[in-house]
This record gives sequence, structure tokens and C-alpha cells, in this order.
Amino acid sequence: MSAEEKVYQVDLLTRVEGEGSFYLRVREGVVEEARLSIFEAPRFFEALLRGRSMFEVPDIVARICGICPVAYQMSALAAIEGALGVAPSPEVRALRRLLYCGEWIESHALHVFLLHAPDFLGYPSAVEMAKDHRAVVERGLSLKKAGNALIALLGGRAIHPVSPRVGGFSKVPRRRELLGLRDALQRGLDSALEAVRWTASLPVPDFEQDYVFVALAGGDAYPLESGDRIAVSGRADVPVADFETHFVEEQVPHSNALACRLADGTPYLCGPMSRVNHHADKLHPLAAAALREHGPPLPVRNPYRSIVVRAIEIVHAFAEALDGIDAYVEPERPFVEVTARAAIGAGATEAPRGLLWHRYQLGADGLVVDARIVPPTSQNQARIEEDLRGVAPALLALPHEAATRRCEQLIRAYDPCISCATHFLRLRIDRAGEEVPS
Amino acid sequence: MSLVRVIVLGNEAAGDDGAALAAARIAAAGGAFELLLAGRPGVALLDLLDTGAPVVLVDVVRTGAPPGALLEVPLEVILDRALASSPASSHGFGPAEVLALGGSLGRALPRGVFLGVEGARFEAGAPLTVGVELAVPALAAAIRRVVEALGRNTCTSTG
Repeated sequence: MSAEEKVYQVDLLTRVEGEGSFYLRVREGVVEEARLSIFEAPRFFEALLRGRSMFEVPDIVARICGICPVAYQMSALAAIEGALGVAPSPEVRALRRLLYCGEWIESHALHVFLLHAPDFLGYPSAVEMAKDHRAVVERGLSLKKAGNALIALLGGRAIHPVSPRVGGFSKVPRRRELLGLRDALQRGLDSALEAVRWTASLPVPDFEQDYVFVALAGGDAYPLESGDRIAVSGRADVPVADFETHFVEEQVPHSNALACRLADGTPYLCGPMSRVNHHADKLHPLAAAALREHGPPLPVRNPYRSIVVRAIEIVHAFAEALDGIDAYVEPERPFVEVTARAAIGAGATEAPRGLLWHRYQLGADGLVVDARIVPPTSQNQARIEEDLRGVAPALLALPHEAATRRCEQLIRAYDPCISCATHFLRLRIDRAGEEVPS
Repeated sequence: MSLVRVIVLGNEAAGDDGAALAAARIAAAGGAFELLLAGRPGVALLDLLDTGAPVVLVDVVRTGAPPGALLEVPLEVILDRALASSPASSHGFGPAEVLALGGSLGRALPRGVFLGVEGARFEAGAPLTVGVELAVPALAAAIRRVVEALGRNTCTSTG
């Protein structure tokens, strides 16, 4: 490494799900290379789904992630039910939204308090941070526990829930069971409001980027479990069914995750910042008030401030869950009967980390002919690399170790879920001029 | 009297990482205990350990012993012996980190026993290695034996 060259790298990122690294090389103030490398092996879920019954899909895709299994189930159900023209009852849709609130709570609480907070407070891990900031960690665990309890009640268990099914739920809770969670959720809401104040007080590096924000749209509610359009800042909305026309995935040599960009090559950002920038007017009034009083001005363009936005979304999820419980009407039937037919459907929902898009081709026998899953971390991958390029000038004035930590903190702001991002690479083999798709 | 809580960790789709789960399913037949097939619970393991009942925590371990070797130690001892696992655990919170986090928070571990079986390979989709597969019945028997002993002690202590 010459005197003019600086390299920042971490070979094994911690406090993220899965295995990845980053590498940033700057020569004479110019970024020569910025890489987020994902070397966790692909798990071939899309190939695994082929030939399986559409009724098995929610259980299979839930296994993609232990943190956001509901997101995978909801996107799959949106796609399959859309393909078959199935319309679950309003009560079932409300229950799915309630289930998804539980996932946002547990996932965001984990990230805010145990994964990202140590960066702001100067600790290598939550274990070390807990020795000095016990109340902070206990608050995170308590919030996460409340979210898990909601998932366990609605989903049958807290991790990899089993009750969501094509057409509805295999089993729905009794009203008194939901009311049994109310006190814990109310305490969670109060604690989440305090968390917004706390996250807003954390020191944040000055760093703003000009992002293209991408989030689910359609309907009057804050984007979560349904939406028929995708909002792209500065451009026309994209129908969910047309995702593949407007967004392209490409293989990059340094990663087992496909990197996603707009069709013109522009990297984009999905996740909490995109959601709040597009849909702040749809936040629950309590979350909107928290944003007004303690949140950053909109649009939020500093990824380090995403910790505040996540805290605001925790408030939203608790408040909406409480409203959902109060308004709960037990469905007359937990699910509608579904008849198989040949069809293709796409669906998208908002996973805690951002837009999660699925497409399924079903045969007349109800078996999956083809599946495609585009998770948020692979969509954010190119944008993370752009951020590393963007932050480079500010790093040069920092000691090397501090600069490296600043990069890690930046990557963690995306709450990357690397295990989710590694997915099936479509190979095209050129044998003597004959292209053979895999 | 509280039923003994048996918490089992692992991933049946990752080679030997599924050995503890396989043993627990055998032990569950006819066993009188609360069985939690927890998989990879991350920090939620702290919630599972938050119980007044005696606990048996069962997991696959890597200590350098031959594949299939069984390990049995009091639960509090595992806190000192556990090393940070690879970051393949959910968001960096494998059982070692979770136990350490509980320690940092001053949370007391319940009375109980840790049972481990030495694993060798953990690739996705791989079967159990021969030594580990042969050890599964012995691990199941160990679970039943430890549950019975903890249950007996609970009866004694509560009169």
C-alpha cells in the first residue's frame, strides 16, 4: 500500500445476519474500489420451491430467515393469492397486518438496541455495551419479547410461524387471547416512544446522499403487508407486477447475492428511510407526532439516522397493533378455499429491511413451476457500495481504526440480512456458441 | 412442581447441527418434560432461560473431541467455557453470545445441565456424520436421565 493509498476493510462483518465483508480502497483522495462482498453460500430456495405444492410455499419460504419469516410468508401469499384471484376477507387481512407488526417490532428492536446501538455508544458488541448500559439493552429485549409474543400468538410460534396459509390462516386467535397481549403492547408503546427520544439524542456523523428511495405503495395505510405499486422517488410508480421491467438483478464477481439496480443502472435504497420519506403522512398519529417532535426533517438522507426512523416505525407498529386488537373481529372462516389453476402472480410487502418481491408460476396442479424472490438486502447492495464511496472523503481525516468503524456503522445502518440476500444465481453456459440456460 | 424445561438448539438442515434436535425427538417419546425445539432462537434464548423450572440445554458443540462425543456440565459452567460462535448465528447471537449477554445484564441462569454432542460438519443439506448419528440414541438417553435427576431433585427441594 503506497503512502497515497488507504485501504479500509473488514473481512468478517459482525452484528449482521450472515457472512460478508467490505473493502474500500482510496488513492490520492479518489475511491478506486468499494465492495460489499457476500460470501455466504447461496441456499437455492428458489430451486427448492420448484415442484412443491403452493400450499407448502409459506412454510418453506419462512425458513429463509429467522428474523423476518413473516415477510417471506406475506410476500409469497400476496403473489400466490394474486395469481389465483383469491381475496382473503378484510378480517384476515387485518390479522396479517397485525402479525407483520409483531415482526417489525422484534426485528427493529433487535437492530436498534443490540446491533446498531453499540456503534453509536462506542462498544464492540451488545455484550460489552450491556455492562455499562443495562437499561438500554433490557429495553431492547423487552420490546423484542413483546413483538415475539404477538407473532407466537398469531403465527403459532415466534420463529418460522406456521399458521399463515394460502387463503388466510390455518387458525385464528380468540379475541380474549389477543386482549391478553394488550397490556404488554401498551407498555411496549410507551417504551418505544422513549426509544425515539433516546435514538434522536445519539451522535450522528454528518453524511447525506442523494438517494432514489423505493418503497411499496397503494392503499391508505403505511406500507406493510400489501400494495399494488412501487414508489420510486423522482419517477412514476411501478406496478408490482412489472418489477422485473424496471429493476434488474445482476451477478457481481465479489458477491453471492445478486445486486439490484434500476433498469438504467441507478442504485437505489429501500427500507425504513424510503418508507418514511414516501409515506410519512400515513404513519400512525402517535408515530407521526414522534417524528415531528424528535425525528430528522424529511426527507431523511443520512443513513446513520435510520436508527431514529426504525424507532419511529417501532412506535407505529405498536400503535397499529393496539388499534388492531381493539378492532379485532374474529373471522367467520379462518381461510377461503383455494382451487389450483395455472397462473403467474407477483406480490410485494415491506420486510423490516425493505421491499421484498416474490413471483410464482403455478401449474394447473398447484405445483410451483418457477419462483423468484428478490430480498431487500440484495436490492440495497449496490447502494451500500455507493455509500462507501460517498463516505470516503470524510474517512481520510480519521484515524484508520475509527474510519473502519465508521464504514461498519454505515453498512449496519442498512440492517443487512446477508443470509436472505444469497439466492439462486441463474447460470447461462455458452458451449461452442450455444447458450444453455441452467 | 414445575416440569423440567428442555431447550434444544440446532438446525436440522445443516449437517451435524441437527443432532441435538434428532435426539430430543427420540427422548420426547414418553418423556414428562417441557420440550422446546428452539432451533436458532438468537437473543430469545434469554427468554427461554427465564424460568423457575430446572433447565436442560442441549446443543451441538465443537471442542475438538471425536464426532459424537457427549458433554455434560452444569449450566453455569457452560458460561465460562463457551466461546463466541461463528457469525452464522442469527445476527451474531449464538448461544455463547446470549449466555454472555445474560451475564452482562446480571441475569441469573436457572439451575440445570448443559448437554452437548460433538459435531464435525455443518454444511447445508449434509447428513449427520456417522459418529454423530451413532451418538444420537445415547444423547436421547442422556436427556431422559438428566431430566429424571433434575425432576427428582426438584421434588426433594420442594418437599
